[in-house]
Amino acid sequence: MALLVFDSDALIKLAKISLIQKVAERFECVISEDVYEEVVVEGKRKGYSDALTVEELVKKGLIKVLPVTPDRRALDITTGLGKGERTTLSLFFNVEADFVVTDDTRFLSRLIRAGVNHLDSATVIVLMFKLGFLTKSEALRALTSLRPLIKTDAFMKALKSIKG
Amino acid sequence: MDEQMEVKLRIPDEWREIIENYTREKNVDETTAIRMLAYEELKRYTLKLLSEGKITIRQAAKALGKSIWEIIDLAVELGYELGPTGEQVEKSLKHVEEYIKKIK
Repeated sequence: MALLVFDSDALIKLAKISLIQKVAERFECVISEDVYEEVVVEGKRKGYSDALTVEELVKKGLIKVLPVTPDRRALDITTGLGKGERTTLSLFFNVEADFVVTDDTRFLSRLIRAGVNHLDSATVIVLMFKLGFLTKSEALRALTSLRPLIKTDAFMKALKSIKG
Repeated sequence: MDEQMEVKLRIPDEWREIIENYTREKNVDETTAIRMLAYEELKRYTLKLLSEGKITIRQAAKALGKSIWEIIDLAVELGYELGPTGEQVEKSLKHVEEYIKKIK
């Protein structure tokens, strides 16, 4: 089972399109305490009902909130970025995850430059489809729901990958 | 936003009537009115920087005093596209292919 470390934006988007439960059932999902605070605590405080779904998945143990030990590589890669990116990437190294999942363009640029395995909300859908966790129509429906939340060219690339 | 920067600014006389209307409509003083109008443009410019990958979503949220949830909604509302670029998605797709090869 793939081990995914989620950053807040990708987690929020997958919650918004009601896919996060399926993702959490099929992959080992972990988040930092910072991400939990931003997604669940802040989300609930602002009245986002999807934050409750994430909270429920955490309670069920399908999304694990883990403490983070600062990692030297993460500190180097995220220089000039914030604490949230630093702890998410430290966690990736701490648990030796398969992927960091983020939709943040700036954070992704750093991950790409450093050669860190990464996914985003759209390619999580592609991965689920390719692994047989979503049918083609389910994957296309999920991607269509995600469409307003991502860039047009990103949507097109993911769409092409699913359509084949 | 605990600390504040003080800015002295001169505005054209032609703006006076508009600002006076705004103060009446919103029931605020002139300083607050100008700050509210500046905030409207600040929102757009922050989202532009975020869309271009020049700042992170956390930096945008902090600057605008909003949650990440709200930034995502605000971008949709104001028509700014967020998230990875097509090129970044291509790179992610390569990781997907490599992972699938590895586990098969």
